[in-house]
Amino acid sequence: MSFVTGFRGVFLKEFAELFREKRLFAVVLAIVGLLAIPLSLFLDDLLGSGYGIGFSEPLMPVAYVGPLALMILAVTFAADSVSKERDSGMLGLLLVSPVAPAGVLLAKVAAAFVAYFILAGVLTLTYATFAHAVGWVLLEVLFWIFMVPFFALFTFLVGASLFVSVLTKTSRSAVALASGVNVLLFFFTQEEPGIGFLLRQVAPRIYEWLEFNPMGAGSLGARALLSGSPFAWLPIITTFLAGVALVGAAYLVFRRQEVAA
Amino acid sequence: MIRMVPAHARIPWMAAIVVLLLLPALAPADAQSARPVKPVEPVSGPPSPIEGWFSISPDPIRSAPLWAFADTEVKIWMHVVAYDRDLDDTITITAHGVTLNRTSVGIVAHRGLVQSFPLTMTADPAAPSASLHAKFTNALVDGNVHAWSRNVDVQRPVSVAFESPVPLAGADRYGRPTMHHVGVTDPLPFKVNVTNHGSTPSKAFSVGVRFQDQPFATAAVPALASGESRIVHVGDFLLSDQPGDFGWGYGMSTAFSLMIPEGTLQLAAWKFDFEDGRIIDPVAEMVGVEFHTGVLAQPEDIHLVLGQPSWITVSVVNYGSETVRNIRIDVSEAPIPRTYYGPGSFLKETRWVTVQPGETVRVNISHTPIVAGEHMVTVQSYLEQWTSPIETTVILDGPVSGKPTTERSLTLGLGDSARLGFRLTSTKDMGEVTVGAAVAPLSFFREDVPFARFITGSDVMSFETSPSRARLAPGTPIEATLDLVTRAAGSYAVVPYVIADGIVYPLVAEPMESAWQLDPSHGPLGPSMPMTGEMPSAAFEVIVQSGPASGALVPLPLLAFVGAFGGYWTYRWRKVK
Repeated sequence: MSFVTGFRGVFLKEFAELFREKRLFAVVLAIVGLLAIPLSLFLDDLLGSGYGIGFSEPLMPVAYVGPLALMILAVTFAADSVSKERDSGMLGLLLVSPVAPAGVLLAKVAAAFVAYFILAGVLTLTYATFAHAVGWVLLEVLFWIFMVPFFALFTFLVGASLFVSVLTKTSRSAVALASGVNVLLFFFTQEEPGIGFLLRQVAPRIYEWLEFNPMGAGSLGARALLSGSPFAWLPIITTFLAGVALVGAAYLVFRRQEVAA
Repeated sequence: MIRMVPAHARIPWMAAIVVLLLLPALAPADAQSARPVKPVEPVSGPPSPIEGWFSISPDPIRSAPLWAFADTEVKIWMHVVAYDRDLDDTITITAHGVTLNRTSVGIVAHRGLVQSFPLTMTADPAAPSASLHAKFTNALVDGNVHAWSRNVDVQRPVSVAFESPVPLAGADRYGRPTMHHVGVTDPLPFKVNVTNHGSTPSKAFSVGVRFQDQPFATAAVPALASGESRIVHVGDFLLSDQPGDFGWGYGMSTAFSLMIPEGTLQLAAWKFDFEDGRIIDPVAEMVGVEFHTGVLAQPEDIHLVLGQPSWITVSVVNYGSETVRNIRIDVSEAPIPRTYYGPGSFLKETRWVTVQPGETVRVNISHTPIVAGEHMVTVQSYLEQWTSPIETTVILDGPVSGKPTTERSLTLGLGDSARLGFRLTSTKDMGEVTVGAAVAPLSFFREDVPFARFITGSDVMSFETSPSRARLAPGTPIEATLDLVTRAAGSYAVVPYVIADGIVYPLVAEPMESAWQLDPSHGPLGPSMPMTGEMPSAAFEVIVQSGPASGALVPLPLLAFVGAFGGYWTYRWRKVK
């Protein structure tokens, strides 16, 4: 049995579930809707200000809200990926089938990334109206946001959620734990008001390391893309590698916990 | 039946009406005064309809002695309070302790009058002090208005000056005085030199030092004998003891000024606020002090030569008593206006240094500037927090110059095209040169790339220069055009340039005035002093306005997404059914 035997089968199952279930629909509708409705309302004001707005300015909400949206996406599609199978009694069935444990986990990760790219695609189409008004280069910027800082952040979020999913016994507790940790990380990136602001006052040295907070890396990276300010590659690469490491850690725990049993 | 009245029958009545109307005009003058008119209210004594002040200039700003008797100009400031008309008036000046060359002056007072006239005062050696009084005596409003001036006491020339720390010569380009460097936890003693330059003893007075416009310490000065000079210890200043958050955790710069509290020694010349006639405390002298946590990083030697290996040396001094480790030093050098001309047009280096107490560490950064024109060298250090950047302007003159031959500022729509023209000249034979252009956002400030990452100038604006190559020599200018097509909304700087032998010669618009010229009308040198100088700007500024779009179209993709899911579920439901 090869390392990823059965990947295709599990991935197709996950892929079909993405569309059969209503989670993907609900999450994309909520995230894009929340962004699109205010943008559509303010579009005329934004464009009619006379002194032309910069082509990347309409993307600012994506940079600020994006990390939170990715967190919701990761929790929805990765935090309960293993525990859901355990809850429904399917995990044992999967493990006695000719499917390698790594194949199961990688299929779950791949399904989460499919959801990620669907979200990116719908959001890109939503911004097409803006791009028509301010220049198509806007979509180019959005593309790079999803391909570099947000990709690294989502890798981390999926890895962390998968790890929590492997560790916890039930789907509900996995979602709760992953959400809690990610929300905490998110609030550490918020300067004012937020934990980051307080931390800067009382412990500036620790605050410096917030740059390496994955949420911060994703958010700051996106903002750097919009403004052209210095791009901190190290936190982004660190975030991506941490995500890969967490997937690896999830595999090791999964293998030791489930397969050995 | 209507009875017609002949026209001539109306004449007597009309004549009677005309006579009645003309009667007042035909009456004698005495009879006119009897008509009821609104009387002018008589005014007796203060408050009068006129408030008058006067001052003696020049203003006592910086340096000593504060004033001299001879050939002093007297300024009159008047405010007509109750009447909105000009008032002919005569000012009578009386003096005690001095002899004046004139004792009256005629003026026409109106709102906000500021008038000056020369006045020579001769000191009376026997008088210990002197005073001037001015009185407005002949205002022609009902003939009974007597306004009065405030007295101005004229003292013997007493000078006050900082002894320690002594003001350093020169100022930086922001108009700030050259700074002393002091640790935030080190007490800073302030000593003041007071001297009586007169031939008679002075009065006792007090002298103070101001920090953030508030006196932090004052000291009494006894009467000084003629020619006597003494050093007065006003007080010790400790920044960390000051109430409020002055950011002393990482340092700050400020200016201290001398003050003489009102009432203790009336200076010979007050500085007036001519807006409302109030006296402003005269600022006698100012000393700049920069407080820091113990470490100061600043440029020591900036040696930049166009196209030659150059260097920037930054000295990092530890004034504190403890070793400071891992101080981050950022050094950058960029052309003004900031425009990206390709690799090598910017310098940005970061170094980490550790400095022992009392030690000076020098950071040497090598760099070969490839862009001609004005550059900004910025040094900034980081230890717990960023310090204020220290910026130095360096001009790298080149033989190429030029100017736009078309409008500098354009407003275009998305997708519009335009043709810009410019002429390039040279004082040296440059041979065959490449003509190009660079685009950057007008807000391109501290970043190291002009646009969002992975985006270049040609993504927001396509442009082509003609000719792209030409010979440039004295007497052989290049008449070039730049055809552009806008691709993205925003405000952009467009800078044509010439490249010769690897050196970029950008075409910039020269500032209206010489850079960083100070405006002395705003008062003495100090951190808050504004600048009137401008930095060079881009040769062309193009604003690209966004195109039309309807907000109603934004949710369409989302609706398509919902429709796709709905269709899929309907299909599945039917199939299962």
